[in-house]
Amino acid sequence: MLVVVLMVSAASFALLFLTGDPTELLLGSAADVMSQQQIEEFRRARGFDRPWPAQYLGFVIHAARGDFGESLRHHRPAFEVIWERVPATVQLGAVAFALSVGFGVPLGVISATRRGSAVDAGAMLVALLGQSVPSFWLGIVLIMLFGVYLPLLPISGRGTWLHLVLPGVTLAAFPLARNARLTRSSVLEVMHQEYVRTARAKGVPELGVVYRHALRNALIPVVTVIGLQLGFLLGGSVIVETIFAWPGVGRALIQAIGNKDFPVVQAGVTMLAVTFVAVNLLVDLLYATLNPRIRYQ
Amino acid sequence: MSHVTGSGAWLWLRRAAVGLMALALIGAPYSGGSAAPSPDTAVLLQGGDILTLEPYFSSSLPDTNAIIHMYETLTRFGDDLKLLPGLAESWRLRDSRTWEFKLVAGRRFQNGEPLNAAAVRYSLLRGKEFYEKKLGDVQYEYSLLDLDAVEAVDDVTLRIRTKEPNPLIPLHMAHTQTAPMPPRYTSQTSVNDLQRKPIGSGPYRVVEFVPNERVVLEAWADHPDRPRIRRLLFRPVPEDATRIAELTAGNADIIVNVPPDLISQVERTRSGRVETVAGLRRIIVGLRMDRHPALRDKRVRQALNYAFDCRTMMRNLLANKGECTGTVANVPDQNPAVKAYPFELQRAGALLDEAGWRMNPRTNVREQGGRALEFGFDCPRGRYIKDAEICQVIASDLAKVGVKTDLQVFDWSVFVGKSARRGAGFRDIYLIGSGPGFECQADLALVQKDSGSNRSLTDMPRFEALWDDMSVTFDVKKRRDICFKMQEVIYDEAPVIFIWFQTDIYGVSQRLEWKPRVDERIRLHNARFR
Repeated sequence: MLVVVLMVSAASFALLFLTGDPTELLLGSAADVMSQQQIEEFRRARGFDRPWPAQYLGFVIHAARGDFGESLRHHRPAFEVIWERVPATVQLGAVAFALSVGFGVPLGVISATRRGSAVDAGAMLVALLGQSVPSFWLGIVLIMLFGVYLPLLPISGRGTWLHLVLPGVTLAAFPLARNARLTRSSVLEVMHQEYVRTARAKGVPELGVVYRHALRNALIPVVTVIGLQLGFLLGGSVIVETIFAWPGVGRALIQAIGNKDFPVVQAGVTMLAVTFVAVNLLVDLLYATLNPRIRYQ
Repeated sequence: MSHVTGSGAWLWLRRAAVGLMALALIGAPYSGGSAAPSPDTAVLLQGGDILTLEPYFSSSLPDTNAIIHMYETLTRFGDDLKLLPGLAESWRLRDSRTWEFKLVAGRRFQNGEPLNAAAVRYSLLRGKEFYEKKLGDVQYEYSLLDLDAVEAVDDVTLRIRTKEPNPLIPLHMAHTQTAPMPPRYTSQTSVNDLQRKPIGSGPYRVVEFVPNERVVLEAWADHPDRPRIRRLLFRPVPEDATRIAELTAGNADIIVNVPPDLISQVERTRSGRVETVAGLRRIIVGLRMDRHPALRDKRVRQALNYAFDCRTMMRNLLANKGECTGTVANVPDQNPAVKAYPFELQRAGALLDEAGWRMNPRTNVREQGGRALEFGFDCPRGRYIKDAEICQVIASDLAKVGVKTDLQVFDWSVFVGKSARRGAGFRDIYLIGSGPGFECQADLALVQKDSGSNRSLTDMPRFEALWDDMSVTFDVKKRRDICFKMQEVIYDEAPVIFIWFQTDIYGVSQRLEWKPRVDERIRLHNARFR
């Protein structure tokens, strides 16, 4: 896990470094009135003149102590800049996850068990739309419908649970659709298995066949995908956060990249890498728990 | 075939989904958020987050719009940009390097500390220290100030001495980074806390700062000019369409940066209206004198201006919310005799012919000695209103007179790297915006040969002679006369393609009486609800 996190942070550091140091971006108009010598002094004072491996090594040594440095824009600890946005990101990610699982999986099951029917067609149309419609467009449409024309829900910002509805639905649309399609195909595959035929032959009601026999096995691959999905959702969504002015990690990270705010980028990337690796590990462990045939050395 | 047992996949999924939903809902605090504003609160939606309320740590506009309500400065710019008294009731030039300010007596900070010359001295020297130690965000302002010494003669008399004669010191004292701060509180408070809980002397003080979500200011009862609006709520809403939706729904009082193509959407609503003002940001296409040899010829530069149909672009792209210009000086220093270049394709062609650049009928590109009249054209995206689109229009217009351009559009973080070191990364021509200098000479530094903001490396002898004159002239009327002459020279020499002064477009609620300022500052000191 540590190796993966280190590799990710080194790669992101190197890529950002390749775009040039942030001196001119930080100075802005000041660079126009400063001499080249003054600009170089500023660059040296902030340590931007050192080669990137040296800068990265310094970062790693401090990061190991929990010190990601000071944000070049916010003038306070970079870790704090990211960490204070984590609750909002987790909140929105959790709601989107719950919606995508709570509606996506049942939709897939219903669709599979009524294969070829109007219900199946309708469900898959919804799934197709969910995967095709850009989240930017969906978000704006939902805002206009439920925030402006039918002013039922807050349009932007964070506050009550009502503020979670529109961004949550927008963020959940794509994973919900994917979960529905994946569940459908997985259930359909399992329904052809011999043990399902045996269950039917034994007289088990169809509902029982589906929920007590087929579904448990059908969900194993779905769980894997959903677990990884959780990692993405917890990483924040720039588009949804921007449309709904949601104070999450995704937007902060994109702004930091644009501002060449190296410490914040590193803090954010490290946090995301740790989250992904942890979620992956959790999924792997869960997989072994769910499927006794899988055992790790 | 074995089944999964007990804690099966479905059970796990159900538990996870319920648990996460509960976490989200329990964690959702019941607090403000967006809703119809209360009768005593003005809601301002800006495009960026407020990162800090400490003026020495910021020069960004979202921060400044909050800061100007909490702090006061020795001087201030009125709505018409005339310099007015602020905390200083008068000022005079004592000798060529020393300005003396007389402060208003008896003023205090919001925590009761006296606002006297000693406090102003403390603040300016703190700014100087930050500048010397490369701390904060004061590099620009304090390099221009170039302070030598600050003396508090008595409680109401302050003397500021600079290293070189500087006629612009009173203007600089209107900058928020010269705002006085209470010495005892400031020296005893951590930098982190100062950024969230500042103390100033302005009509508002901060009551709530939730990072990335909102800043709430409340009127300070003991301020001599108590404002009429009790509370101000600042929220960051990055997306243009979302800000407009909030205004339409009646949830906001002021929204910034309404795109020209969405103005009609605001105008159609009952809850809002559009307010525009010609801003101070000059948008130009710089012409580098050290690249393509054609750009060293004044006739070619003039031809580029004649070939650009600015008025059609203004109508079609910018909804006529702005005016084309022929100067780079801001109000109130604009020479009224200097107008925008007219759109005259034939004249452009004639000038290029005269300069020796003849049209090649096969390629439709002008040539001289086998070299094509082709320019690399660098353009930012998303930094200025319709920047990339304006570049495309200009490229298209220039093509009509046989000037070919290779247009490349860059994200701002990349573009700014090119603009560094006086535009070392630019190719032949580039679109850029430049903020105001708040005084003629500072504005015209854009094309002065030694100025860091002169990215075209322009050198105009007639202009430079006038510049030298102006640098040693302190009489206001004489400075103005020189300023007007310099603008005539700039127009004739055409070191840039003149475009416009970017219009600032706001959406404003019908209940708010407020007019925008030219300097992009949203000042609500005198605003009121209808």
